[in-house]
Amino acid sequence: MTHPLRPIGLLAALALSSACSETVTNTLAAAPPDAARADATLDAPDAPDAPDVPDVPDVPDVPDVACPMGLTRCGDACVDLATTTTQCGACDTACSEAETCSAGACQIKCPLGQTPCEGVCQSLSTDINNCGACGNGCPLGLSCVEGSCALVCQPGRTNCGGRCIDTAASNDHCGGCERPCATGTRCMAGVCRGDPCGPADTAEGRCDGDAIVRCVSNEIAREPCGFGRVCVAAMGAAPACADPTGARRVTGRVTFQNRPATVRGVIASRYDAVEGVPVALLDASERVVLQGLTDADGAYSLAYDAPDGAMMRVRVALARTDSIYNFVVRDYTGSTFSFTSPAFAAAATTTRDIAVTFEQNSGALSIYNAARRGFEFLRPFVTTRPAALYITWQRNRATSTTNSSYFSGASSTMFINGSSADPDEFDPPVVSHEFGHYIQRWYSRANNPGGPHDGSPADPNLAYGEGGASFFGSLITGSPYYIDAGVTRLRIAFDLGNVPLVRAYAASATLPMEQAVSEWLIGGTQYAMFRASGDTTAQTQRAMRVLTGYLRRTPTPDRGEPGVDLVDYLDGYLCVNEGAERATIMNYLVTQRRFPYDFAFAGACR
Amino acid sequence: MSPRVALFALCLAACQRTAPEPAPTLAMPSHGEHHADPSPPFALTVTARALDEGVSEVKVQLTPTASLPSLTLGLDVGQSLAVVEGSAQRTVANAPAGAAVELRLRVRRTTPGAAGVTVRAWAEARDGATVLGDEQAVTLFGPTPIEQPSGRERIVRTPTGETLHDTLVD
Repeated sequence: MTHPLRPIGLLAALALSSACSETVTNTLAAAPPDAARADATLDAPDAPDAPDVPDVPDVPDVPDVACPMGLTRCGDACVDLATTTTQCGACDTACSEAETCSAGACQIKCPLGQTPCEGVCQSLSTDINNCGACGNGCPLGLSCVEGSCALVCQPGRTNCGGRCIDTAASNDHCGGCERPCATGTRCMAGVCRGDPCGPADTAEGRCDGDAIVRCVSNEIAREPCGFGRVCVAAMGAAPACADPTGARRVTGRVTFQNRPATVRGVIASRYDAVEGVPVALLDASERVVLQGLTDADGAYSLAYDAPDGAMMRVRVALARTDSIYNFVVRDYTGSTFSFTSPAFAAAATTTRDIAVTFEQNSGALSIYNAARRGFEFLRPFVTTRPAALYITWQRNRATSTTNSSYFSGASSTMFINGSSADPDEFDPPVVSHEFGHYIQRWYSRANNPGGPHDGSPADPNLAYGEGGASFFGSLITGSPYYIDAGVTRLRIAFDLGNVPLVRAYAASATLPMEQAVSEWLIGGTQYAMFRASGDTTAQTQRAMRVLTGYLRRTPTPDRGEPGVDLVDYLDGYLCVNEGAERATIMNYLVTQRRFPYDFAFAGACR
Repeated sequence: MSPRVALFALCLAACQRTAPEPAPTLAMPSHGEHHADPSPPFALTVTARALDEGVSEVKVQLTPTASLPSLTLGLDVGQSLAVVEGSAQRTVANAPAGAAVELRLRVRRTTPGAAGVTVRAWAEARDGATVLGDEQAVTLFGPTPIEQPSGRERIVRTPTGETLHDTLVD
C-alpha cells in the first residue's frame, strides 16, 4: 500500500535513513558536516523539480548537483528510491508505518527471519511455497531446507543423488552414498559381504519357514508366502506356497488389560480384544512357520504340520505393513513390541490365549488398536501405501521434556506418554488426536507452530491444528468425546458435539476473523458441521475433501490469519456444502459461536 | 472354511515384516514439529513433609490459567492412611485465573512402620459433559519398595535381523 508524501514525516524518516544520508553527505561536500544530514532532507526553494514539497525557508539552500549513481533527486535530496520508506519507488510514494521499502516497493514488515511475499510474511528458509525466494515453490516430494528445495528422507534412509536409499542394504550405496559392492558381494548391515548363497541355495529355492528362499544373481531372495499360507516342498518338486493343510491347529484369543475411560470416570481394569494383529507360529528355533491375523473378537486359528513332540510358540508382533497399514509400535530403542506364549508340544488341537497384563506392556496393544483404527479410517481416502508411522512408547516412561504425547512431523513418529502422571496408552482419543496430526502432516496442510495448549484462546494456526486433530480423532474413534484419563481420574473430557457456549469456547463478534480462538471452538465447529446434515458418511468425505484437496490447492487458499486456520477450513467446507446444510453451519458458527465469519468464500470455491 | 481361517487368505506377504516401509512423500510437511496433546487449564502440584513419627502433611495446590465456575480439589488417601486434620476435599466456586487454590491435610499411617505409601491428589472442574481435571501422586514415609523385575521382558533378534521388545506371556 502506498501513501501520499508527507513532508514533515519525510524529515524524520530521512533523518533515520542512515545509509542514504551518509551517501548524500559525501556527495554534497559544500555543506558543513553537521548540516549535511538535515540539508539532504530539506526542500530547496529554487529546485524546479520538487513543486509539491512546501518550502522551509529557514534552511540554507543546497546546490542543485547531480546525485550519485543509484540515487534519485527528490527535491533537493538525493534519495535511494529502492530502500527509502518515505520515497519508495518514486519521490511521491511513502510507505505506511507497517511497511518497509524493498526494491522500490512498499512491503509489509516481517519478524526477523521472515520475508513478505504478496503481503504475507513467510519463512523463506522453510516454506515450501516460498523456498529461498517468494513464489519459489518446491516440487511435490521435496521439502524446503535452509532456503533450498531438498529431499528429506525418513530415518534410516539417506539422500543419495536425489533418492532416499537404505544404505544398510543397498548394493550401490553400501554404508554410504556411491559405495557400490563388488561383484559377488552384497550389502548387509552397511557392509559388503561375500556371496550369501550357500550350497543349499539354488535358483529353484527351498522352504524357509513360510517363505521360499532362492539364490538369484548371487543374492538371497526371500519370498514370504503371506499370512495363512505355507511353503510346501514335496519330494522332487520345486517349493511352492500353498494353503495350510496341516492336521494340527492352534487357536486362541489375543486380549489386553485395559483401563478405559468414559465421561463418567476411569474403569480400573478390563480385558479387551486386539483386532487385526499379526499372530505367528514359531518353531523351536523361533523361526516363523506361518502367520495369521486376529478377528474382531481377537481370535486366531493357525493350521500347521509339525512332527510329534515338536515345541512351538505363538507370538504377536505389533507391526503391519500390508494393505492399507504401515506402522509399528516400538520402544525407545526401536525394538518392536511383541508377546510370546510359553512353548507347547505340537498336537491335534491346542489353545493358547495371549492375555497381556498392565505389567506385561498391555499399553502397547491398546495403542496398536487405536492406530489400526486410524489406518482403517484412511482406507477410503488413499490410493497408495500410507506414509510410515512410528509409534514410540514405554511403560512408566515420560516423553522427552514435554511429559505429554505428541507427534513429530519430521520423523513421522507419534510419542505416547507413558508416565504415571499422565499415561496415555489407554486413551484412544489421545492416540487418535496424534493420528490427526499424522493426517495433517501427510495428507493436508497445517502451519501449526506446536507446543503446549490448554484450550484457552490461542494462535489461530495452533488452534486450527489442534482442534482439527481432535476432530479427526473423533472421526476415527467414532465418538464425539475427547477423553484423556489419568490413572484413576479424568484429566480432560470434552464432548465436541456439545462444547459449552461460554467463556473461551465462543468467539468475539467484535473482533476480526484473525482473533485468537480456543482449539475446542474449532474442534466443536468442525464436529457441528460434520453432524449438520445427519449424513455423517457424506460429511466425513467432505471433510477429507477439504483436507486433502482444497487446502492443498495451488495457489494456497489463505484468508484470515496467514497460514491454515479456521477461516480457510470454513471456506473449503462451505464450498462442498450447499442449501440447508450450509445454512445450518452458518447458523451454528455465526449465531451460536459468534465467530465473525464473512461468508466470502464463493471465489475460493472455483 | 471357517471365517477365522478365511482371514488368512486376506493377508498379504508384506505383513511378515515388523518394520514399516519407508514413507512415500505424499504431501507437504507441516512446519511445527512437536504437536502435543491437549492439557487442562491448570497445573496441579502435590507435596508432602514429615511431621511427627508416622504423620505427614500433604499440600495440594492448583493455579488455574482460565477462570473456572466450579473447581474441586481432593486427596485419595486409601486405607493405609487416616486423616488426622483437615478435609480430603474442597470445592471452590468461581475460581479466577491466576489465583492459587490450596488444600492441606495431615495424615497418619494406619500400619506402623509402613513405607512408600502413595496418595493421589486430584482436581476436577465439571461443566455438563465437559470435565477438566488432573491428578498427581506423592509417596509418604520413604520411597516405594523397588518393584522386582519380572524377568519376562527380553530383547529378541529375529532370524531376519529385526529386534523385538518381547514379553513372555503366561
